[in-house]
Amino acid sequence: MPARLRELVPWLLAVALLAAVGRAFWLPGEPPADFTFINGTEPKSLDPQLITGQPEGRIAAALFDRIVRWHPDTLEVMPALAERWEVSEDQKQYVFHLRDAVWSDGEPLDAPAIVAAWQRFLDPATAAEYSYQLWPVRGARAYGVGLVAAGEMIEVELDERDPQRPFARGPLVRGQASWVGSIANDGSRQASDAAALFGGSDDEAVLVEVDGVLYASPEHPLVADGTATAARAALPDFATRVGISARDQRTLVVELAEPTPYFLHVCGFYPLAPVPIHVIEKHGSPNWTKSENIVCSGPYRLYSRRLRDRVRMVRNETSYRADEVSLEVVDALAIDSGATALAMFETAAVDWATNLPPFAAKLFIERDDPTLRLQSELSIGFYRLNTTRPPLNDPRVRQALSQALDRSTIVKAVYGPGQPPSLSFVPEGMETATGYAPVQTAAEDAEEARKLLAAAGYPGGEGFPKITITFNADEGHQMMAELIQAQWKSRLGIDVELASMEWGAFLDAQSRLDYWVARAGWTADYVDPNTFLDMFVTDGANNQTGFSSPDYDRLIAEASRTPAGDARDAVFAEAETILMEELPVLPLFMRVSKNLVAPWVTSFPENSLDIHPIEAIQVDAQRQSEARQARRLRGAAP
Amino acid sequence: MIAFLVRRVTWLVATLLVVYTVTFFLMRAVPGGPFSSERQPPPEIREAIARRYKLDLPLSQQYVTELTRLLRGDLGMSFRLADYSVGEVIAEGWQASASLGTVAMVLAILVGGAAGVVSAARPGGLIDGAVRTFTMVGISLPSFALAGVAVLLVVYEWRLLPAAGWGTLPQLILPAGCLGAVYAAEIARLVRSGVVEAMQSDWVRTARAKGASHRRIVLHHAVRGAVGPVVSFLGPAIAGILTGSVVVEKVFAIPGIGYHFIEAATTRDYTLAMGLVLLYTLLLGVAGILVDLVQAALDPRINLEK
Repeated sequence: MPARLRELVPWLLAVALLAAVGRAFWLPGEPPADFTFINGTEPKSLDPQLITGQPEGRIAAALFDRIVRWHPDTLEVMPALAERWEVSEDQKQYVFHLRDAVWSDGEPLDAPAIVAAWQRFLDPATAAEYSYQLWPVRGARAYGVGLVAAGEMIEVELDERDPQRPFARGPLVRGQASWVGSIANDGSRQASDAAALFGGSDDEAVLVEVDGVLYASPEHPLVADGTATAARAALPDFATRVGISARDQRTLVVELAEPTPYFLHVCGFYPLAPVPIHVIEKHGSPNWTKSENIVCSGPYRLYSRRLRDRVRMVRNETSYRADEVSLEVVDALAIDSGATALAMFETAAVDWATNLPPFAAKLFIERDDPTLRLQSELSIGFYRLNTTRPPLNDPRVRQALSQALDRSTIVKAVYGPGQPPSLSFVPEGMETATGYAPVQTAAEDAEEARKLLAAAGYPGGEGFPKITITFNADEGHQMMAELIQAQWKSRLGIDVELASMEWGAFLDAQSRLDYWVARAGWTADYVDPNTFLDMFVTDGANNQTGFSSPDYDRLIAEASRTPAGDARDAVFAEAETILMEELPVLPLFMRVSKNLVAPWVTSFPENSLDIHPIEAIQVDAQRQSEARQARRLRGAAP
Repeated sequence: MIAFLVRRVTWLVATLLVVYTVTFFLMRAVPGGPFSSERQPPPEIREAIARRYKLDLPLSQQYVTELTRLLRGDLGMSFRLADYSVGEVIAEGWQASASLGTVAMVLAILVGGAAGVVSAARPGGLIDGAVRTFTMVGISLPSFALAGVAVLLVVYEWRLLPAAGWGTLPQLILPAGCLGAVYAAEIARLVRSGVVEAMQSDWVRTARAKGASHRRIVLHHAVRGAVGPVVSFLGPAIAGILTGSVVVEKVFAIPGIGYHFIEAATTRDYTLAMGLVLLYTLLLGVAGILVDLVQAALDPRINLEK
């Protein structure tokens, strides 16, 4: 290296260092919001149709209005985009009369806009995880799965783009499918009765024929040689076969396949919030969710988003509810460490913390701290039992395991007082919410448990194979498993091992039925016993116990056809009785939501779904700013 | 120098390819996937999701598709942060990690360098003993413990600085201090031993014979002996610090790359994890090349062609 160049090197390094330091202090600070809360993990998306979690739901519910909403305290269905509605005699037709609402860009949010949004929700290409919430609608499931069969009305989406709306669906060819099947390389046709999309290898790729024209995916060899026309998808004809339509600009009509008493409630669930199709068609997904593109309909609109830092929302002046909103600027912080959340709460950096570490929860409960809000949830903590593995395939063994447990001692030791034990799978709170009285399993009876175990062939636990309790790594889950292990050992004489697993591996083991006993939890999606009980139908996606009972399946199906009322509750009770006798699950405790709310928050709605609509929250700004200045939550130092 | 660069870049590309392959198959071998959840949607919807993200294709085909996409310079869309491409995630996280890392590194060089020189000036003295104790503690103390103590004292006890968060200068001080402390300890150790060793060298003896003062000998002559080891250490350290600190970013809720890294692994965000692993490999490789170039520039005895 030449000497002159060599002399330059230290200087170059110094300049680079200075530039880096200058750059480092250029920070993206923003003035503090009127209300800041810890929202847990970073939202997966702002697109309400693509999300499932609570942190995502809090933001989606603030940004996007639904056709109905839930009362912040009682969860009763209230008018939102729909001012009023009529339900037909047979409870299968809903007519929603919409108010004159607009998107935040001024475009009308009318019935055709909602139909288009729900059509996207169901479209298999959207792959919306929660789209099955709309499956009670006539034809929605077939459309969502993309099943097309010969002889049916279908819609074929051509592979053409409109330069004005580059992300819109292509032009539709609608008509009766005369043939559905695949064509091999030698030209031989293989008809198939039902098929989805055009995926798969060439030999299996599905083609459809409408009015003598063959349609196939753009990559199909028959498209290249001109035999078939390129199409992106073939689906059942939405307009004629799915029960969602706009009677006029302000009237939305929904027809259900079966009377579904909880349908109206589901309409207030965030995934069913209409999304702005006119914006999605312009920017595509996910680009439409960027703060410069997004258009909202809720009481708030998106101001900015910084990944794993915060989502900033500001009051949406175009919302018909704008006047009811008291907080102008709201920050949702993406912080999932409970210890960090607690430190920020204690130093008055945030007004509401949603995730607090278990050790702190216990401490706060014991000292009866007024900032901790406890509210029983429609949520159950339970153990799954793998009913396909002997000896757990014997209902007497499962009964014995259940009756040997002293649930209240265990739950109190782990979570402190305030977290009630549960003997039913549907949490008790369901009775106040819907009138359905949950059915309980047999209470603690160690003597009876020993008898049952002996009857199953394991007197005193003799010959009982070593089974394992599996749970995802967590202090509380570990402690609960240890206590249960000890009680089963002392009361039944059986040996149980514990296995702590990483979350992803744990879920995987559970869905593959590769476990003996596994810790689990379930929170209601909507306020109806069905959200708990339909889990255990044969091969249900969330059954994961191998449990299968034709009687149970029949009862759940019957309940879905029965209008709300005592008769339906009786059917559910009969089903839960089977569940609580067969015990593929051991209900353990009712979960309680734990929120830390600062003393200057003057209005904070609470309900059994742990939903706290931001638009209903109010603060005393004077006290808040004093606390922020002092970095102290609790007035003067103790 | 050209031959040196060609050789090193070729090696780097080969390394990236191996890292890609190992990461790809390791991630798929781990149970669970980017869409596993406590709430399973019906199987038809799970299939639609797998189809949408091309997870239904055979592994070999996924391997090739992903590789071709990467070769085009496209890191793909994140699975778990569905509104962002991996490139966007890195671009955003980079800013926080780089700010934090730069400040921490500058603190570390200033404090560590000064402590090392002062300590080496009188080996065995009182100051030397103190510095050596602190460096031992700094090197062996895990950063989460240090961060925990710092939060307890500075945030809870004295209410001097904000607990966590990102965007203002006060929010930068505590995490930068915690992150820098570990590097400062390491640098102090390297500087001290470099200077002490140089003090025994011929050129220092010559300088002393010519009547140079102790201060001049330490600051002008002996300190040069410490530059080599420190530069070698700084290469990978800078690559590491720029890709973010997992612990400090998590404790102080800093939206940097280190935070993304653990989340990508635990949520099986295949594309994001892959992008970050490749980024880290690339930075480490480039830092290694730069270190060798700077060493050659600073020390005429080093010949790159060998």
